Amino acid sequence: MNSLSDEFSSLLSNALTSLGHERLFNIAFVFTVETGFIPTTLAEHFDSTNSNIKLAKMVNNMPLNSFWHKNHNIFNAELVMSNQLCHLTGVPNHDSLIITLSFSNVSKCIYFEIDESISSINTEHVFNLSLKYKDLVSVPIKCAILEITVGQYPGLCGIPEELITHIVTKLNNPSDLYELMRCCKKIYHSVIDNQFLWKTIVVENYSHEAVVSHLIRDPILDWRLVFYEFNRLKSNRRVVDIIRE
Amino acid sequence: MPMIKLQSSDGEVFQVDFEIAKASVTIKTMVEDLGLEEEDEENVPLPNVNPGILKKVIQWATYHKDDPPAAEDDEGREKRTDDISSWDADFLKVDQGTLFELILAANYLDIKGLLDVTCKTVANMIKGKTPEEIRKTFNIKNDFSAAEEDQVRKENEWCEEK
Repeated sequence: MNSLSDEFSSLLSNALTSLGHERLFNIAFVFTVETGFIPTTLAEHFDSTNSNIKLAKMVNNMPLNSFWHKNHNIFNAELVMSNQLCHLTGVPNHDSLIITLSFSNVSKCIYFEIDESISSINTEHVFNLSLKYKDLVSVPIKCAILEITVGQYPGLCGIPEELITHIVTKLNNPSDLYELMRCCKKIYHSVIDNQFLWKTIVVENYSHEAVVSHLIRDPILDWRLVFYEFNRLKSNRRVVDIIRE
Repeated sequence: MPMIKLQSSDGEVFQVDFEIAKASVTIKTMVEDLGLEEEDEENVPLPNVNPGILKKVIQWATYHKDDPPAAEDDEGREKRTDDISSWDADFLKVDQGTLFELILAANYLDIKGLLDVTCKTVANMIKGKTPEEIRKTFNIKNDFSAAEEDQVRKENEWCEEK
């Protein structure tokens, strides 16, 4: 099932034995725990946010419905991430369950539909549901919390600068870089300050002679600006060509 | 073949063949510095890596244990992002939290091959997208004001491929 571990696979199989809305809530609960959220009743056993296999074993020792309560038909579970309290709620709506994971004033929400084809046999279906839930709900909430408590979080803007640079260096198409750097300030700076990257782009896109003659004229340079300058000249030349024609 | 014991952040211990664990320069150095080569009771502590991620890293290193070492000046291969093997692509079909945790772990453990393929995977997720689509994919907040956005556009207009 491409879970992090066998322990989570068996936990998920347990969730799948329940029925109806309860089944959907149990599935969401297991995915949330797999992301690293700890049920408040077990929180005292874990001092780091960095547990999962041990946590799965502990959760597996108890019935899943002991981790949540139901009030006026609404499911509610309390979990912690990095010592911050979070609520997982499930509101039934006909054949679906509206699942919300919230922390302070941040919340993410998803619809789970009652679907009998979700089963331990149809692992691909469960796996896709898990990816969707984590990417849309539990991982963004985890990142929001870790951004506040730790500073570093497992997301594009949450990893150390040198690693963002590493990823950026794999994008050798200037138009991809242009789109990426307009996302946010942190990424903007990792792109424009990466001289190695711009140098590679200049060397790959322009002739050796052009680069050398530029270097002779202007030995102290910013490779990004050199690329812009070359691009500007190229496009001007093209305009002149069009006028001539 | 000697086995070593790797201890993850929550105390979970994994027994791994040293030949496989050697993919990590950090572990290799630690084992050599601590003199743990012989069958030893001692664990190699890896407090920055959670057990789920460590399990995946071991899975990756086990599959790649017979790979030839990458050539030092292999720049061309490193820059391509369309050469991810189907096994790696399958292995990296994970949620984003796991993907970025693998990047952090590969960096901490100093496993070049894994760092490379995970970063390539992220690069492929960026390619061909508009800024808004990238923000949506990675859940990034736009922290530019309208005026700053204008300025960035103006300063970088020659970056656009004409």
